[in-house]
Amino acid sequence: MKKTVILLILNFLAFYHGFAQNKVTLSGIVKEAKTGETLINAIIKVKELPGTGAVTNEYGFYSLSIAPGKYTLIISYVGFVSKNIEINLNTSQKLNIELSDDSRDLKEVVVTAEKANSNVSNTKMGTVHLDVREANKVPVIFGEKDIIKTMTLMPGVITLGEGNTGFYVRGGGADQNLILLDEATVYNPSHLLGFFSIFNSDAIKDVNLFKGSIPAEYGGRVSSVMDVRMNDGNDKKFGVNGGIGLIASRLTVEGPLGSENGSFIVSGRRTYADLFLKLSGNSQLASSSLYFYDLNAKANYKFGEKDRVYLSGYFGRDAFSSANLISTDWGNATGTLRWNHLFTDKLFLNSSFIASNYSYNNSRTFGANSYNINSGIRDYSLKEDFHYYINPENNLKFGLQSTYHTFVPATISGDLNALSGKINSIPNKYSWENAAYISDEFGVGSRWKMNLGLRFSSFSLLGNGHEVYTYDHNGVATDSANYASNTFIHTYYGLEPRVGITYLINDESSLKASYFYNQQYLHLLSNSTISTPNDLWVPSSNNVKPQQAQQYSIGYFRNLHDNDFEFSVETYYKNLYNQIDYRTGADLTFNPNVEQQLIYGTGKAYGAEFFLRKKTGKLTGWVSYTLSRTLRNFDDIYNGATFPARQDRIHTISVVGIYELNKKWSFSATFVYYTGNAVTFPSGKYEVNGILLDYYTERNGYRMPAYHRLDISATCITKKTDKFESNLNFSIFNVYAHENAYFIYFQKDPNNANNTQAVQVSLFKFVPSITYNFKF
Amino acid sequence: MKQKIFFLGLAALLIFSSCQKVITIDLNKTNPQLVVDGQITDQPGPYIVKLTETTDFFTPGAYPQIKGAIVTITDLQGITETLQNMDNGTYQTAKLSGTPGHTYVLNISYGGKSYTATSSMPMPVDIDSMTYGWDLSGRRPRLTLHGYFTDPQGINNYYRMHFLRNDSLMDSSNFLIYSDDKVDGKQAVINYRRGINIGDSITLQLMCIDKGVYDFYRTANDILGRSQITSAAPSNPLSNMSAGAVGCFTAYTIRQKKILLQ
Repeated sequence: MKKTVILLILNFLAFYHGFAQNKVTLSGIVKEAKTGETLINAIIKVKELPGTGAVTNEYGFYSLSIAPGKYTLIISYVGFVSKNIEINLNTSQKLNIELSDDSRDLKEVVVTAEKANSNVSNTKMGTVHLDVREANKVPVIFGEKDIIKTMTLMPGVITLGEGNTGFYVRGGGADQNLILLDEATVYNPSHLLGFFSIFNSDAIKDVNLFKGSIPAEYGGRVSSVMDVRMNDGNDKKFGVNGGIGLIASRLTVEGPLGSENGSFIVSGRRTYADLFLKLSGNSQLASSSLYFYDLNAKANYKFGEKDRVYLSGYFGRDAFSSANLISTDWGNATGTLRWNHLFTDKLFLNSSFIASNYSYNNSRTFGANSYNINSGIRDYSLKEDFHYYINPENNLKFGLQSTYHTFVPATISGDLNALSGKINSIPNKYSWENAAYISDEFGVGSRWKMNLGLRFSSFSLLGNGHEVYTYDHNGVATDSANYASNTFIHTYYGLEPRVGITYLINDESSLKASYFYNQQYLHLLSNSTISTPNDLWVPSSNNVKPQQAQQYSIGYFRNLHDNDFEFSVETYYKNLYNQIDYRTGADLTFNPNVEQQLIYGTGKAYGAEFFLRKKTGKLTGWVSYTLSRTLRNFDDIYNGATFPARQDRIHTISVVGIYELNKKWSFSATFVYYTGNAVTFPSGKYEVNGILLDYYTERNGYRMPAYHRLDISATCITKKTDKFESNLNFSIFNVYAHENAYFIYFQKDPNNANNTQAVQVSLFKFVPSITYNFKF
Repeated sequence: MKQKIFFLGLAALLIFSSCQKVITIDLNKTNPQLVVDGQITDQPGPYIVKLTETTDFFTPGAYPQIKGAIVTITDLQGITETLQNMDNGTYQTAKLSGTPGHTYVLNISYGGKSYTATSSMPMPVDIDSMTYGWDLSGRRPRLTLHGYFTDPQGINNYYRMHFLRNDSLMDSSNFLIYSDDKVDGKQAVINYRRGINIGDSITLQLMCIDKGVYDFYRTANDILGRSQITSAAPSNPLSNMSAGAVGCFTAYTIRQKKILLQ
């Protein structure tokens, strides 16, 4: 199989080489003028050749092959002043371009009225691109900027309940999103049980969410990919910026490394909510601690014109301890070493070595005894990603990926066994995941564009020297075998095609269609509604089959008012296979045989997403509306009756507005309305030994009450000079204090034992906050 | 002073001001289902099986009693007895004598359907001792009771506890249970501090139950009160009854110890 893929790659290369003969290539990097940060997805157009252009990649690199001649280039990027450059192109050459977000900074001329219509003309569907600068203007609770929460204001992306960073894309599960930070997988994106995400906005440059057709270079999750890229650091001057908020403070230091050949950035954030616990009169609370911190660091250096090396890392931790008896801490650590190499001005290679580790520690002290339990997951990956810019109408990407996973269900140190006599460490599991991919985006005539992608993936569960059991439908072991370390227990593989087609109706509107199929080999086991740190990732195995998804989508894209407004409607239909749930009463903690507790079913999801966005002017923002359903079916749940998934939500509306009043003041507001997601409530009741028990007749047969909320924020620039900038941000979460249901529970009426009642619990009503930000 | 007010204000903002209120919800009508609450112990009988029906969730008042059932208990190592119908939804034995190590089968015939459950009576476990003291880890010292027993090694043991204050059973919001799933063959300690005061006489009852009964109580606890919150998919507890009946039939042993808090 792999041979075929490689042959295919060679074919593509040989075939396209013939076209490129009498053209010259312009290539380079697009950067932000002030900081030198490379810009991702910046657009380079050629005025004289309508429909011809290039887009910068994840490293800000572009390559454009056109016939020699005199041209005007138009370079644009959302939120930045577009730039025109006249160029006499006789031979292939390098051109690095700098854009500014402030027209006053422009020493050169020309502000153009040309606006991008790339959302209409490219083949991307179901893609959300968030520029962090823009996302930071959206009001959030406690003033903590959060890209995941901003993402959930986009169509097709929802979160269940307030203060939950677990997100659900187009009916998929929270574990079906691949979250990448500088290419490293982040296994738990939340802090403090989900109230905050691990992404410190000061360290983040760019976020792309693929919820429709996932490009072939990504794989391993069936629902979406969220690709987060860290800032590279200012390569022009040394700078410091930071913020002081109600519950956390941030500090970032960045600067050049060796005269614009490189740069570094270090960014940290820590909460101090636990300091308030000290004020508590309760001595137990006062001796408790609860906090999290993040540290992002990145450096890059250019070795000649063709090579650049990046080293980036993230380290974050949540810690909780109570009266020095119990302490738990958990968090992610990732590291990425990358090497960009230009073989020619058209062939770009990125090689990455990536490490990712999520770990959870739990320690207890009993008198003289103490123990520690560690669990988590560790990855080491190698990636080779080629990008071949054949000509402006044809872009080829291909590559290889290989990951070695180590799953740590529970490793015990200390005296636990002496204390318990029964609990032992659960042996680690190992697996090896591989993929090869190729994708090609090309034009067919002037109106059609296609994107064809093919990914071949494989996953092998490896032996760990312990017994491997095979379970039947009822979870009873029917067979067992012992596999030595690193022998193959079971291998899955599959071909995952992606197809995207765009038909340009005119310069302002297009129709797009896409199809994709992919597989997921890792599964998150959790039967809780909140994000808990001990949720367990498990590999596919002889018992657990890979999850699979198929998605079809069709969309209409239209820009209005000279590209000031973007409008799109996308519809999708999705089939999900080998979905995982749990047997009633499943005990997942410390269970060496969790696979026994799993049951398997299917799912489907469909919906329509409407999106209108205003990108320019004093007032910017968007309106999104999603109409969707998502259903599941398990033979072992209520006799195979189809039921709505928990994330089944029919109507979701979000409105975001950002208004720049003047140089000093800007305002923003967010309004969210959605109908309740599916929930299981009792229909009947009974009593055993005088204790009231709920009687359930179906899964997720009820709906939570509708949710709505308005948040507002105002930012005042208190000082702005060339040397120092500062601003104050005021925000109010849930302005009109609507009591939104966080959950509903059922109980005996405390005042009348003959009656029963439903009780609604709401969390945040009218939460004001203030943050001070500075930069020098 | 100003600074203090400032910090108090901040703290108030931080503490999640969760608020609760009773709401009105429409819930579906249900088909009544047989509810079994039956036991046999190693203490002298009579033993009682109570039969009721489920009702819609907001139906007020007592549960309907099932008066027309035929109920038998079979001791697999002994006799079968048909229980006497007391005409108020309870059925009681006259002859059976619960014996540790024996397995009992409950049969109920009602409304043209038959329901069965099986429960084994484990060997009893004694309470080693009871003490009490003051727990100083909180804001103010709290009176805490400790009950000790030694878990037999090498076999799976499942326990249920009752606390009696001045000889009347104390209310509990859930089933107090314990298993040696994770801790085997050690001395176990049960701490209790709710609603006890100096001057009370407190009785601890330690019941040994089988796995089926333990699983019922364990999964029932998962859906009690606020435990519903974090359960992604609450469902009916695992019952040892067949044919869709809910509730539980339990054979258990019971040992107890009393202490006067002074």
